[in-house]
Amino acid sequence: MSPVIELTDAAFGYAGQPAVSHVTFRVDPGEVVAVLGPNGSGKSTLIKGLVGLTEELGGTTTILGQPLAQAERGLVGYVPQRHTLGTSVRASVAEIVGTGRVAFMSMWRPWARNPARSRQAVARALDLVGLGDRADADVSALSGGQQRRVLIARALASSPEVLIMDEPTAGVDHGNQLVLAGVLERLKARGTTMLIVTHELDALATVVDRVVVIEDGRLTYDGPADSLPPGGTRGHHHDHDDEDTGESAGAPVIPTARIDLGGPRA
Amino acid sequence: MLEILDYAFMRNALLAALLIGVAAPLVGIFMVQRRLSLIGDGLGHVALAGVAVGILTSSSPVLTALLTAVAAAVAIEFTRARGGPTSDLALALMFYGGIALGVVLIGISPEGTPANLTAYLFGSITATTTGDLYVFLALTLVVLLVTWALRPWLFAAAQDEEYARAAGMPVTAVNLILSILTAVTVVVSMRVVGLLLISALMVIPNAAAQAIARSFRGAMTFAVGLGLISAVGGVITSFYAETPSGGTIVLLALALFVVVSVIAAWQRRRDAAHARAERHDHEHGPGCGHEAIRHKDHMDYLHDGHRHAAHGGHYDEHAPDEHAPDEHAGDGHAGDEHATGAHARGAHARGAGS
Repeated sequence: MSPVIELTDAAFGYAGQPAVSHVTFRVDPGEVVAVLGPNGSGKSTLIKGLVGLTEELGGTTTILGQPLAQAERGLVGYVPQRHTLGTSVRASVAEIVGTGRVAFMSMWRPWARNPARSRQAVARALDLVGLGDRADADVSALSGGQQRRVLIARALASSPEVLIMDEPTAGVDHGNQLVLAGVLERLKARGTTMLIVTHELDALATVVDRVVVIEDGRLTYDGPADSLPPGGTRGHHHDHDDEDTGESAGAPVIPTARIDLGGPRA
Repeated sequence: MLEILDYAFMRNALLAALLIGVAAPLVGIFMVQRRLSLIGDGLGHVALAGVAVGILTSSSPVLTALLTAVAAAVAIEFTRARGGPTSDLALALMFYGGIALGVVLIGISPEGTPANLTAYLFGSITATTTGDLYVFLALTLVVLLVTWALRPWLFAAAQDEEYARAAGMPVTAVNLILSILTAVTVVVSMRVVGLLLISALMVIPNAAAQAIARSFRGAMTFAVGLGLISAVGGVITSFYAETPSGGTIVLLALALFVVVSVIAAWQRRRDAAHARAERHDHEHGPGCGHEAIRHKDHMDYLHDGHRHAAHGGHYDEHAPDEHAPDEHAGDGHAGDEHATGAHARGAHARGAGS
C-alpha cells in the first residue's frame, strides 16, 4: 500500500532556518495519526510545511507519491487553528465553506465555473460535519465548536485525499468536543486519512490509530498511543545543538507541557 | 424634476455618480474585509500629487493621477507584504508626502487656483467633462468586470489568507489586483466625490450593510444599493442646494447609515424577545435522532414534545403558530409547547476553554 504522506529525513522551517528536522514517518491510506508535542516543539511548523506554508528545507516529502513541491494542492485539506471565525464582514456558513472550492475554479474563464457542482460539494461537506441545516446562518453567530466544524467542512469541500488539522479541539467545551470527535469518527469510518496536531489525545482517543511525538524539532516517538511512555518522551536521547530557531526561539519550551496521555481529564 | 437633465454637465455628473455608486462599495467591501478601510484615503492623498503633475505639465490630470495611484497601490501592497515594524510608518510617509507635494505643485502651476484644488479634493458636479466621462466609463467597466470575475478569490484571500495560501491560491497576486482596483476607483471618483472623501463612499455603505446583512453576498448587494442612492441622490441634492457634491454624497451616505443602523437595532430587539430552549449537549441536525419539521426557512427538531430551532450557538423554543398560524395546520403536534416570549435564557458556554 503506497503511503498518502511520506517524510524521509525531512526538515521544515522559516527563512532558511529549520525548526524541525530529520523527521521520518509515513501515513497510510485510511490511517489517523496524531502529532503530539510541547508548544514550540516544531509540530505546527511540520504540518504547515505539508501545505506549503513553511519552507521545505531538506530530505524528501511526498504526497501520494508526488514530491511536495509539485503535489497538487487540492489533495490536502487544511484545517488551521482558529479560535473564532469572527470575520470583519458578514459571511454565511456556506460562503466560508465555499472558499474551499475556489482553488478549483478557473480564474480567467468565469463562464467555465460550475456553481451547481460547488454548491453540491459544499452541501455534502456541511452534512458530513452535521451542519447541513445551518448553511445560511451567519457564521459568527455559531458556537466555537460549530465554527471548528465549519473549518473542517471547508477543507472537505475540496474533496481532499488527506485532512491535516491543527488543534481541532483546542478551546472547545466538553460537549462540543464530543460532537467534534463524533465528526472525526464519521470521517474515519468513511476511510478519510487524517493527520491531527493535538494536545488533547483523550478527546480523540477513539479516532487516533497512531501517535508521533515531536520534541525540540525532532521526532521522538512513533507508535500506538497506548504504549507512549507516561509524561511524554522526555529523557530520550536527542540533540540540542542546532535547533534554537523558528518558533522554538519565540515560545519557550516547557518540559512535558500538556501532552495529555489518557489522564483522567474527561 | 427632470430639468436637471437639460444641463450637459449634470448628465455627465449623474452618469459618473451612477458608475462610482456601484464600483466604490463593490471594491470597498473587500478592503473592509481585509481591515484596510483607510487605504483608499491614502491612495487619494497620493493621487493628488499625480493630479498636480498633470496640471503642471498641461497633460491630462486623470491620466497622471491614475498612473500615480496605481504605482502607489503597488508600493503599498509590497510594503504591507514585507511587513515589519516600520511598514505602517512607511505608508504614512507616502500618504502625507503625496498630498503635500500635490498642494505645493498645484500652487506653483499657472492654472492652479484654490477653486481648482477644492474641486479635486472635495468633488464638484461641474468638473466632469465629456472627455473624462468616456475614460471613467471604460475604467469603471474594467473595475466591475474584474471585481465580479475574481470575487471568489478576493473573498477567500481576505477571509483567511493563510488558508488561501495553503489551498494554493495566488494570494499575493489577488491582493495586488485588489489594491490596483482600489486605486482606479479612487481616480474615477475624484471628479464627483473628491480625493479626500472617496474612501467614505467605499466604506460607509458597507458599514451600513454589515449592520443588517447575514451573508457576504447580501451585504455586497445592499452596499451597492446604498452606494447608488448616495451617489446619485447626493449629486441631485448638490445641484439644488448648491453644495459641493462630495460632501453632500458622503453626508447622505451617513444619513442612510444611521437609518439602517436604527432599523437593525430595532430588529435585534424584536429578535431578542424569543424563548430559549433548555441547555443540552446534544446537537440537533439532519439524522440526529429527533424528528425534523420544516418551519418557514429552517428546521425545528421535535425534542421531548417541543420544538427546538437553532439560533446562533443555542436553541430557541419554537411553536408551530409562532410565525404563520396556517403554515403547519396539517402536522398535528397539538402538544407542542408554545413560546411565551419570556426570555428563558440558559447559560450557554460558547467555546471557552474547559
